Amino acid sequence: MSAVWDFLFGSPAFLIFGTYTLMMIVGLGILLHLQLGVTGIGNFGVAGFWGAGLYSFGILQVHYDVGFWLALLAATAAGGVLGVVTGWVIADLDDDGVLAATLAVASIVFLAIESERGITGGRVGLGTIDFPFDVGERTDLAWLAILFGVTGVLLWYARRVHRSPYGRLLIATGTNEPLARSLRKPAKRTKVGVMALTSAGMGALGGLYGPIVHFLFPTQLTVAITVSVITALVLGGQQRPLGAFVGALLTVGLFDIVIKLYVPLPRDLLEHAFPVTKQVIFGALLIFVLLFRPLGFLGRMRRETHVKGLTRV
Amino acid sequence: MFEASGVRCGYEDIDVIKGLDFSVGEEVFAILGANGAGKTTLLSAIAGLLPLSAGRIRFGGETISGLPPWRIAAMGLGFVPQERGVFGDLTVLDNLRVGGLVARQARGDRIDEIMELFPALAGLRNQRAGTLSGGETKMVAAGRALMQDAKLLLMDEPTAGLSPLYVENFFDRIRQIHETKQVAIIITEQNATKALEVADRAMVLSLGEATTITDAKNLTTDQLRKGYQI
Repeated sequence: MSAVWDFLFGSPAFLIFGTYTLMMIVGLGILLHLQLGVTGIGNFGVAGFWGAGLYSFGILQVHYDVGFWLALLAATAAGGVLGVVTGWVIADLDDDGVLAATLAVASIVFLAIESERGITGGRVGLGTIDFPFDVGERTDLAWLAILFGVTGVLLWYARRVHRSPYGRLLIATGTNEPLARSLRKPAKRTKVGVMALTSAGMGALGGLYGPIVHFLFPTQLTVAITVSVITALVLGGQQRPLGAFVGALLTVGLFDIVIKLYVPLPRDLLEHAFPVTKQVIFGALLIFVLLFRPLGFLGRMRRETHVKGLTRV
Repeated sequence: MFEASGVRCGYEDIDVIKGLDFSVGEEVFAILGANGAGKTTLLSAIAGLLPLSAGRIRFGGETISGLPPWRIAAMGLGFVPQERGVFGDLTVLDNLRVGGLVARQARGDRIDEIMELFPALAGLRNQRAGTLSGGETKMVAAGRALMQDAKLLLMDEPTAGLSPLYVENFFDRIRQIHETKQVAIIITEQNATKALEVADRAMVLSLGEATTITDAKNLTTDQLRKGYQI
């Protein structure tokens, strides 16, 4: 029994950090699901919205000694404001335009953070950021529990959106925007609204990531984050709230936790060949899924009606 | 109720509709014409989906040209496009609900009315709209527009591509919608014979211009031929 325990939890710090990453990808994936899978907004700049929150949080904590809750609120607001501006810009663009514009937003955030050294620290980094509480050796585990809770709330919210009139409006906009424009709600405002809300969520997740890494670098905001989130969501099922969770388990969970932690690979292979091989496998998996199961492993969104009689709507 | 004066519209610099003047009261008004006459362009412009290059459109005493489509819809103008008239990922019931998103009348009552109007939809209400047949899709599209408390319904070739049985049935429904719900209807059609059976008045459109506007029962074969350039 002890041997099994040691095997599973022998490297708790690594396991916890891997699970942090997993939860972060799942959380961002759920928010991207609301953008892409529900409303049809192909956001290729997830790292930018997340990074805006991460650095807003870090700057306020490091330079201005702002408390955790206020800094987290600012991180959420930073993501939200960036979401409003981006949403306004992309609302009338076609799919290609949306991808290009959101990628541009992420690039602008990255370049701004990298170049504004006086406040962000540039490539030297920004830190240190500590957990807002200290419960001794178990602090990192407590923080993980909080991340689990936040991800759970996001999942609950996404499922609730699916069943609500607001969700129907989002799905209508995502499914057939020209027709949605002739509904009684302005489609542009709907898209800006969903971008604001979900980008605020991404900003908040960025803020929550600060205490995990303690020190912020621009390299944490590369397109790799966006690619990981999109890969997880597309593999799992972009139209399903649980899609990001399933996809993240198959990607980050399998490769960054299970294989790294429990498969006895030679160190040289693990450090050099493994990251590249992982990307190749992700790419192959994406192609396989897009060819044979375009809506991901979980498939098409469910539309439960919860109606027994016609009048109960 | 509805008035278009000097309406010109089209795509980029080309005017497809070249100066139209017509009005519609509490009636079924058919717009007839061959392919390329500008029927779809005209309805898209009325619904606010296409800007006018000249002219003015008034509905319910207010100018609606220049307003965004959602504002026009909120004023009681429902649009049933020729293609892609439903939200494919939503169920039939969801399509109706999203149409009645802010309708004043209780949604449940209204859905019951739609189901009475199109009984075939009752058994399909939990089916994804994207999986329906052409005729069923047209019914859902019409039902969705009616859910919006429409006072004027724009129907763009609602029977295009449907089997003859559906066509017959659908034209009956159009008349029924007008009479039971007091909804004025502007319908574009290539099937002139069937459209004229349900319409009160008709306009024949040819290359963006009205060649005839008259009572449906008075429309002559020659007038139609001239419009269709046969």
